[in-house]
Amino acid sequence: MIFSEIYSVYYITAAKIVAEILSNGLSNDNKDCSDGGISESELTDIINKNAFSESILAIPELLNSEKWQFIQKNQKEYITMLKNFPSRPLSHLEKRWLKAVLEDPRIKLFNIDIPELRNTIPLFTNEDYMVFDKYSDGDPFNDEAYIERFRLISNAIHLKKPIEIEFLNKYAQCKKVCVFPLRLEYSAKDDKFRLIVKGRNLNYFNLGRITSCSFCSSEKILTQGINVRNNKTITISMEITDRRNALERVMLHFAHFDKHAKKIDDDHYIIDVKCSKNDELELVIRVLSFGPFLKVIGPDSFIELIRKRLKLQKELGLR
Amino acid sequence: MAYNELIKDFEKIRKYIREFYIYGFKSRSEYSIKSSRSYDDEKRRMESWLGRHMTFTRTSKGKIAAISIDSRAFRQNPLYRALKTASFTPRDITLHFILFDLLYTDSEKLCRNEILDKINDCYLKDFKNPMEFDDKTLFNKLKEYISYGFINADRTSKPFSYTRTGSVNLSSAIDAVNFFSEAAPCGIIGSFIKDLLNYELFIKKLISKKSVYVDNDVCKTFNDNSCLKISDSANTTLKSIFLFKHHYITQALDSDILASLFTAMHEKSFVSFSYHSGSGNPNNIDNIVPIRIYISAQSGRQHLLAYRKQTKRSYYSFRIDYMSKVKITGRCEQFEQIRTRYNRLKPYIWGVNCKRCIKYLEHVEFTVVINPDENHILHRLEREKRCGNISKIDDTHYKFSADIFDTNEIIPWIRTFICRITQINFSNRSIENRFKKDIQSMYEIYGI
Repeated sequence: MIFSEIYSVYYITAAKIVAEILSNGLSNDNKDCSDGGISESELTDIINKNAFSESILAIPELLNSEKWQFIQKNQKEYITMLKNFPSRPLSHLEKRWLKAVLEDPRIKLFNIDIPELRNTIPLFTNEDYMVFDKYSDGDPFNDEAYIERFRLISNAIHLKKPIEIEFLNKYAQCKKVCVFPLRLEYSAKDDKFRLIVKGRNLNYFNLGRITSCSFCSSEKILTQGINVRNNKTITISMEITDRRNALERVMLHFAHFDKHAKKIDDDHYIIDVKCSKNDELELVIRVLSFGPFLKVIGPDSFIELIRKRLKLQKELGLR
Repeated sequence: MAYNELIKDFEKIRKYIREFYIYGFKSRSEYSIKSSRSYDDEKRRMESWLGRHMTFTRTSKGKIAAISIDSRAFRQNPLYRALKTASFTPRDITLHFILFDLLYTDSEKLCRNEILDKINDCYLKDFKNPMEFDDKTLFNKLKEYISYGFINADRTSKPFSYTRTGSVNLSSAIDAVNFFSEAAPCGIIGSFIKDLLNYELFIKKLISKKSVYVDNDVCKTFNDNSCLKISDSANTTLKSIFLFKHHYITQALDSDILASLFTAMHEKSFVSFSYHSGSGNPNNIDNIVPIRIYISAQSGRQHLLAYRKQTKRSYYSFRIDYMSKVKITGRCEQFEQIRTRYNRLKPYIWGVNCKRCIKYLEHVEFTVVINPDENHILHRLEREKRCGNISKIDDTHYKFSADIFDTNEIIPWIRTFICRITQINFSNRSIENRFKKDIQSMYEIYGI
């Protein structure tokens, strides 16, 4: 069962409270409290850092009234009867999920071996699920050279070190540039990774287009030759006419964006979607897929992109 | 009942979170899920769990609360917090922490009497009103933890003795856990593992920060139990290097349903569940053989494709987010045959709809104009088609054709080629006519 207290924020917070108390007792610097203990303000700090915003109203009260009988308030301090740092083993569910992940084709990107799971039954296999609408030209997760580049880039991100990459631009020209890698962005729809780097501005490189990479010195960081993209955001306003379940389809489709929606009347809704200017053309296609029940009402530049396509369509005619 | 930020049953708030996140335009009075009091309590919980992601707008209808998250900006799904809110009793948490303190290594073996004696003598005696644990309570907790996989029972010894299960070294798996906790089904489970690893790193940093002598028994025991076997805690980070685009985070809310369905598939079993697709009462659906989960990377929906015996249609797809109370009801002896039959029909499923046999197929074809310098469009057609064929008609025209079970499902994709479509031909004429009518409506809407 996934929804269980053993995985809860409260259990983790309680474990951290105990750990803080025990570490105070074991500390070589411990002068004031030989048995260990934490003050009320330390307790507050742990709760605020780890639990929910209202937990501060609940947890101290539970401790003060001796509801959790492994932590006790003694004078002004909280102490524990536990002798060891709290820990728990992995559950069957966690092991079975890990085993399932170990059978995913993308696992080859990671240099990972967990011999303890050899006899574990996976929670799911590729027979049990499919992402049915991802594109078929995803990254080559079995390609040794791709895997090597992926690992070098991952390592560079962890170490915060610059790298030199050679890549093919959209005109199939080979370019070379030094960059600070920041993150790897994965799209389930494209089944591709993109490297987000820091140059003059944020920039993106499809990992599949990178042909080689190596560590380089910081001085070599150049942004010349990169087509630095515009990272501005735009807000697209659309009117939904709720026919053929359009409201639910649209709202779910655009759910992953920062958005704001309002109801106009029983059939009409306005939705404002914030997205990157770089993704404008993708958004045009996504909006068109909803047909006449999703009308763009702003900004004008975006309306014009839709109108342009419709005009071309009208000129073509449709038999 | 007094308000508690923790909850016993996630089902109640699951619908609210979906409404707040996906729609986010309803005022308090427009929620019909439960009473106004229930709305207030659930909203308060969401604020406590997901505070920074909540937005509030004042309208003539009142204050509107919503959850707004740009999922591309987060390394971990913020909604996972909502699934870590299960309530428990003081006795549950007390027994949990004491039990693992007693069974602190996998070599520590104790029988129930020993555990009970130690609980009473060593842990509870200093409390004003110490809890009392009897053998039955302890037995039930141990049984529960055996089913979770936390504890092993040695049934060869008399009386039975109990040990904790061994640790698993996950030091090499940090990046993989970070990635798959967002990119694999039931990613929340990966998030639990991350919480555990983060906690272990926290302890290791604490030991180092407070100059605790690392060779003492407490530290040694912790290291032996740890999944994180690292020598340098100061320079270790568990922060994810990944971000995710097109990331439908509400799927997290259906994790328990998904896990139950995977278990049923593994056990080759029938399932029953409650299904609530609209505003009416939920329906109880039974005698379902789960075949496969269909996850959409483009619409955010997840479906169960299933076989239902003794029905005319045979194959059904159910939205996972509409399902609740999944029960595994018994083994299906024909499970393999059903999957084999489905595998023969699979190439004709465009979306999630499947029919009994290929005599129900519908033919779809459309022609698009692609100029010689627009290879990327041809490439798009190739990579986005899920079945069917593309044929070149002349230097600038290409035809896509396919036989599929449901023409309706392919329409949104065909619309994405608006500005290039020269001809369509569907065997389902009513859908073809509707498609053409919709294009006309779009011209009108945009004044073309």
